[in-house]
Amino acid sequence: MTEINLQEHTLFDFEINEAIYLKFWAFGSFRGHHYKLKRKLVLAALFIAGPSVLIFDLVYYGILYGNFLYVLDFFDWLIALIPLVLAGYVLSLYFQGGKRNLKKFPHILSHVSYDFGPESFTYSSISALSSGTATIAYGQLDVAYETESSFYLLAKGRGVYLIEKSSLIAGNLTTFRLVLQRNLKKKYVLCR
Amino acid sequence: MIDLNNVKVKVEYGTTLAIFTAFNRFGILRNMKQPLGILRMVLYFVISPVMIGWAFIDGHLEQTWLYCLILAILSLWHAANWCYVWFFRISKEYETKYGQGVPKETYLFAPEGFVNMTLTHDMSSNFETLYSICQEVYETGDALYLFKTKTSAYVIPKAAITLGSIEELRILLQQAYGKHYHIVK
Repeated sequence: MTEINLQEHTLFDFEINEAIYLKFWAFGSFRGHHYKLKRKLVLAALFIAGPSVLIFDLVYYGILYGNFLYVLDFFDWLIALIPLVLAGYVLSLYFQGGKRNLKKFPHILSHVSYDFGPESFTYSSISALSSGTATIAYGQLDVAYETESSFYLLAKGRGVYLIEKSSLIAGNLTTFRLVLQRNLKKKYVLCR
Repeated sequence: MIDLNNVKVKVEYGTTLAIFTAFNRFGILRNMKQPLGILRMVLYFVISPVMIGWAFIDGHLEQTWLYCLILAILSLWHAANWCYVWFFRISKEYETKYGQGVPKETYLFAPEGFVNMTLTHDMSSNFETLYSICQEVYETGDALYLFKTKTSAYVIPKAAITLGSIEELRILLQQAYGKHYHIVK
């Protein structure tokens, strides 16, 4: 039986590429325990609710009893179009927002490495525009999410630390998970 | 990346509530000047009262009070949300972010970029950054804001300059940002 040593350090080293960032973007929009289910429900609701008032108006006033669209005033059209515009905006944010962010902030694509110890972790990053190191106590983290392939650590007002499980170079994921659970308690969220 | 022997300006300060509030309020007003910001401002201060009025008239004429009620609630919610952000959320955010200790910030400005060091009781960081990471710079009466994104910026209070002067810093930043350096009166 393998013995787990919580004093052991866990090291990750990888490049944040477009695919990794977009994966995070897709997760971040619906983050939570059941993010996949949440995503399905919200997207379905947006696709249905967005055009529903407009379709109802067009069918009810335009087709069902003949063409009575002229009875709709500006206010009625506004009510029909607002959900469509809002749904379109939210959907474009979800599907295109990540790519737009990468275009605007290319330094997101960087080489990062992490050294997770028992009480704190060290984060280093090198991009074309910035490089440096930070040592952060786990108390600075708001919440940690674990998905099938990644960990996302959200820091208090300091952004997100993306960790790819496949980039593990020393230590093991079980120790890392236990260290996160011990330090973050209920703020460690396993996502399905 | 940055030659530390060529540092022209040094800035050192602790992020107080006053500095945090001034920056956040400036950020809100700055965002309102952006294309979408104007839309938001129109929404808050023009569309909301018009919608409420229109909803009541339409509701009264056509006896559709449900529309009227929903629109009135939405419009009032917009205005209330804005007031909440301006008066309450900033200090709440400060408490969440820095409640356990005020971070000490140090900036070293050189011709090619700057170094930012942050130190709190449970966190320390040291990052070298080229000027091109920031999009816009705003100089107000009390501070300089180097915006990385729409909502986050490096805050440089003028009173916290410990080496060099504001004139030297202004020259450095104006050279780096050109027309993206804005002086706000």
